[in-house]
Amino acid sequence: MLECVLIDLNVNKNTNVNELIEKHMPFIIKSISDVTGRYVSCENDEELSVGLLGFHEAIQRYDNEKGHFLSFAKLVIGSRIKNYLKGENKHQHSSLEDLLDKGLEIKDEYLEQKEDNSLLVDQINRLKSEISSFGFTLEELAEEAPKQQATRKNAISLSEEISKEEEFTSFMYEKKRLPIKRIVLRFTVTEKVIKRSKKFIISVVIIIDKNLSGLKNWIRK
Amino acid sequence: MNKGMILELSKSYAIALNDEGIMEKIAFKKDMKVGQKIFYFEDDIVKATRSKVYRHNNFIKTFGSIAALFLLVFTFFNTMKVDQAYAIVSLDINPSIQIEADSNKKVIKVEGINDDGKNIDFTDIKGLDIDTGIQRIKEKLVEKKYLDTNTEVLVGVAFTTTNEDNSSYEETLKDAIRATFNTEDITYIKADKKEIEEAKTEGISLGRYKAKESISVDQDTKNNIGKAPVKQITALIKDKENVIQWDAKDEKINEAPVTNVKPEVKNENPPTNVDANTNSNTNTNVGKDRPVTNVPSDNPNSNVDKETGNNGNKPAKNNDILEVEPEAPVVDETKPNNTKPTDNTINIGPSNGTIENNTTSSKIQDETKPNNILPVEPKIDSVNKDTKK
Repeated sequence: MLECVLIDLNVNKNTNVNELIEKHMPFIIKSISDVTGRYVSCENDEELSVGLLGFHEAIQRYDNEKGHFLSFAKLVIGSRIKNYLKGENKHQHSSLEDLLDKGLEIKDEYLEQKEDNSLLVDQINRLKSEISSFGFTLEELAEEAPKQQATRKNAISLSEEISKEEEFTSFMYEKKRLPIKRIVLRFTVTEKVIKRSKKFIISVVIIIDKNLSGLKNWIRK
Repeated sequence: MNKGMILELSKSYAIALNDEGIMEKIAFKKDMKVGQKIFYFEDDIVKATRSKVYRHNNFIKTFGSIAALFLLVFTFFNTMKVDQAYAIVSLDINPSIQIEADSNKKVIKVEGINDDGKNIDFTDIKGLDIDTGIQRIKEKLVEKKYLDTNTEVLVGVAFTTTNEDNSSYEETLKDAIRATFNTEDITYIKADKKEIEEAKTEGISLGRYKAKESISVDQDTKNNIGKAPVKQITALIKDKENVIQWDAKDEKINEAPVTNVKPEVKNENPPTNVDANTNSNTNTNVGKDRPVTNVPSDNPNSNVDKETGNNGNKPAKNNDILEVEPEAPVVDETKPNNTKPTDNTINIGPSNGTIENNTTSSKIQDETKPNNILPVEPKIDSVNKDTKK
C-alpha cells in the first residue's frame, strides 16, 4: 500500500500517488529501458504507459514484508513490460486510457504528441550537409560543443545575434568560417570564446538562419 | 535522466542533442531512429575520446595478433619443411660430405662427415638447387686441391621415402653428379632409408656404409672402412649389385695438377709416408690403421689394373696418362711449381692449425698413391697378393 511505500522510501507521508510517480519517473524509465534494451521514447510511448501502470500496481500491492520497494517495483515493472512485449501483437489497446481510468496524471513532458518525424529528419539531414560543407561532422561538433551551461547559453545567444546580421551570415556561408574579428568588435566578446566553440556557433547560426524549426525549438527549450 | 533527440547514428554510438542544447554520444541500443526523442541516462553517455582510443588500440591489436599468427604459422611450416630431407647424397673423395635435399631438389643441409669435410664451410650451398649445389661443392674441393690427387668419387644416394617413385629424382641426381665430376671416376651406390640412420650412428658417410655392407671382407677391413681411402672402397665394391661406375671422361685436366705435385712428393717420399701413417693414426687413434694405410697404397694399383682389364673402353687412356704424364712435366716444372702448390696448401688453413695439418696430410697421403704407382707397382702388387692370400 501507499503508506508502506512512503515508509520504505522515507518520504513525507502526505505525498500522493501522482507526486510519487513524478518523483520516480527516471527510475521507471530506467527500469523499462533495462528490460527492453532500448531507449524509451518520449513520444507517447506505450512502454512508458505500461511501465507506469506497473509502478502503480507495485504501489498497490506493496507491503513492508516484500523487501525494498524500489527493487519490488522494478520486478513488477519488468514483468509487466515483458507481458506487454509478448502480447504486443495480439491485442492493442491504449494503456494510456487505463492510466487515466486509475486516476493517474502524467505530465505532458513525458507524453509528447507523436509528430511526423520526417520533417525533423529532413532538418537534421540539412544541418548535417550544411556543417559538412564547413568541414566538420556532427561527431566533432558533439565533442566540441560547450559542456558548461553558461558557456552554451552565451554561445547560443551570440549565435542568435550573429544570425540577425546579414553581413556576418553571408560572410560565413561564403568563406565557410566565422568573421571572428568583426564579431569580436561588434558584440564585445573575447576571441577565445568564439574560437573555442566556433563549430557550435556555426551550427546554431545555421539552425536559426535556415529555420530548422524542429531543432530550434529543441535547443531553446 | 535526459531527454535527447537523436541526430546521427553510427555503429556503436549515437549522437543525441539533449533538451539543454548539449550534444552527447550515447550508447547504441536497438530500434533507434534519427529524429527520435528519447530518455537517456548518464550511464548511456559514451566518453568520446576513450572510445576512440579504445577502438584504435583494438584495431592495432587485432591486426598485430593476426600478423603474429601468420608469422608463427609460416615460420612453423618453413621449419617443418626444412627438417624433411627427401634425398641424401654422400660424396666421398677425401673429404666425406653428406648433402640433404628436399623434394624440390633444393639443398637443405650440407655437412662434412670426416675431419676434412668438417673443415670446409658449406653454409652458402644451403638453399641452392641440388645440381648447382654439387657444382659448388666441387668448386670448393678444387679450390682446396682435394681433387688434384683424388680421382675417385664414391657417391651414395638414398631416399627417405620408400613408397614414392624416386626414379626421376634419382636420374637428376645421377646427371648432376656425372656432369659435375666428369673428370673423376665415379662409383655410385644406391642405399635405402634404413641405411641412412645406420650410417649416421656409425658416423661414416652413406656411401662408405653401403660399401661396407656390400663387400665381403674380413671384419678388420670392415671396421676401418670409415677411414679407408676411396680408391680402396671403390675397388672393393665395383662388381657388386646396386653399384654403377662411370669412368672419367677427360682426365687430362685432372691429371695435370697431379703431375705438378708429384716431384715434391717424390723427393720426400719416405717422410710423407710416415706422415700419412702418423696422421691417419692421429685421426683414428687406433693402432689398426697401419694395415689400412698399407691397403690404399696397393689398392689403387689393383684398381687401375682391374680397370684396364675390365673396362675395355678406356684403358689405354687411363694407363697412358698415369704412366706417361709424370715423366714429361716433372722435369720442367719440378722446382717452380713444386714450391707453389705446397705454399698454397699451407696458406689454406693458417688460421687453424688442425686444418692445415689435415689438408696437407690427406693430400700427401693421397699424393703418395699416384707416386707409388709408378715406381713401386710390382712390389705392391706382390704385397697385395700376399695379403689377399
